[in-house]
Amino acid sequence: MMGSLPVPTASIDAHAHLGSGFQPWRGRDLAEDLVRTSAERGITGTLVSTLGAEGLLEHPRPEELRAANEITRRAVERWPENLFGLVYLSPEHIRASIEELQRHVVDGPFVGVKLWIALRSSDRRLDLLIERIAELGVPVLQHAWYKSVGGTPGESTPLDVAVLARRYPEVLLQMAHLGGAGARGLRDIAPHANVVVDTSGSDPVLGEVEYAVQQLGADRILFGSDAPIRDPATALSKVTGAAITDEERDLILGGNARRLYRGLRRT
Amino acid sequence: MIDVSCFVGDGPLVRPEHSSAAAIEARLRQAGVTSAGVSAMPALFTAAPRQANDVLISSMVASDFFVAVPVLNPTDVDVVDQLEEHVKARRRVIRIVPGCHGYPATAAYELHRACVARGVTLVVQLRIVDARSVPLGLHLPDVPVADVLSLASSTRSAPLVVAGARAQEAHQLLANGPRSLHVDLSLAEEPDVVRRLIAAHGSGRLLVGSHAPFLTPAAVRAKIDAAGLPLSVLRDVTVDNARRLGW
Repeated sequence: MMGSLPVPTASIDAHAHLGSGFQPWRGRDLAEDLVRTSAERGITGTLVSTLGAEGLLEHPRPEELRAANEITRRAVERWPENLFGLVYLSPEHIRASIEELQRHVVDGPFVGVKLWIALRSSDRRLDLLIERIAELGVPVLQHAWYKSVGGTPGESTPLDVAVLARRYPEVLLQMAHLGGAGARGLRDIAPHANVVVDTSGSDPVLGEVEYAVQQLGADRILFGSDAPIRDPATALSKVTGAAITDEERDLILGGNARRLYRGLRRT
Repeated sequence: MIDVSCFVGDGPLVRPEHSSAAAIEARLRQAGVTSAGVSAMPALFTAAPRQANDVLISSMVASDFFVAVPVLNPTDVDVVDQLEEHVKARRRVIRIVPGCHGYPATAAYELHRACVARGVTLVVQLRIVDARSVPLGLHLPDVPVADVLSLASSTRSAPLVVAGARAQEAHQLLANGPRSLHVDLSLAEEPDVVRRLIAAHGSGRLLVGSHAPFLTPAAVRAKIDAAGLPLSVLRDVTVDNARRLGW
């Protein structure tokens, strides 16, 4: 009978979520389930954000941003060795977002920013917020996808990310969802060295990570699961099952995240 | 580990270097697969799949790894005759792809009954890729779960395998379908997916499907490994259920 395949150790999952939009799958506590499930797969650090205290909010109001980030804060305080917070902001509410940045990044332990689908990242209304983020020097995890069906007006494509990257070359952008970018999305971001991509998004497509390594280089790819929307074990297989070198795999599974997110270096 | 669902040959959604029989067999073996039921990739993209089946079958004659799973179109007037040919050649599993070929799953009632009469297992492909990523111009709609439940319930004792269900669809199918309905794990994904499916529905109706070369075979292996199953349950899911159904 087959035994289990080796599990990589000390990996960093650069894209996961908390919040009441998701149900725990083992006990009553989503954060605890995430930490335990990840640990079994050798994932010792996870970047988490909460997209709403009551479901997933595409256009959160200021008080909803605050409530969402409180969920992340409580989890990060409870699991300081395993969970690392990204503050959820909305360019539709610049003042509230800058206050949240102050609260959680300047005065708190969060290590970066999460932007979702309120406005496209190429929208000029992001400018004030991005300029403050540039001053702080923290990375931005920006959702992006080339969808043939089901997109929303504020949802960024990789081209929107490329536009933002060109205008703010000093800001590090982690473009979410290699699985939603496709070859076209990789072409869009390839010229911009300040954009990295995470491996989350859709199914574990064969050859996807190999192709991204060829197009961007392994030092611009981060492992991300998008748990609990997806399964950390399955998401990890995108990288463990890829025909790449051990050195490239190590970069994707943790080396790059530790280099790019200051707060993760101690993990 | 027996893989009940993979594909060989060229198609619009997979890079050619990943879709040859040799490339797929190497990837599957790496993931611990010892034999695999394989359909012709080109048969997914033509509503007249007969020629693609013939090419696949002739190329698999000498294989000690792949078992050919022909793709049939139940709207063909001679589909039962085609099935009969496969039965004579000792093929015990066939696949239909309603979303790719453009008919409802309920169009397969007659074919399903013919399968029952001949001891053949019918695989219904629910989807082949994430609909959000299907290139414009390629129409590959998902198959509604309700249609599959209707088909499965029409001949309740006959084995029917659903390939490509999402996790919630797999729960829905196993909860509401007859005991003869099985699902593969290829596109089912949620944390602890295998444990949760077994806890809710038992291990007797789950099958390993890699869905290679659309997906990396490492994925289904990762799902199995993550479940940490007792040996007897592991054997059900990875070998015995598939053998019982004709793989």
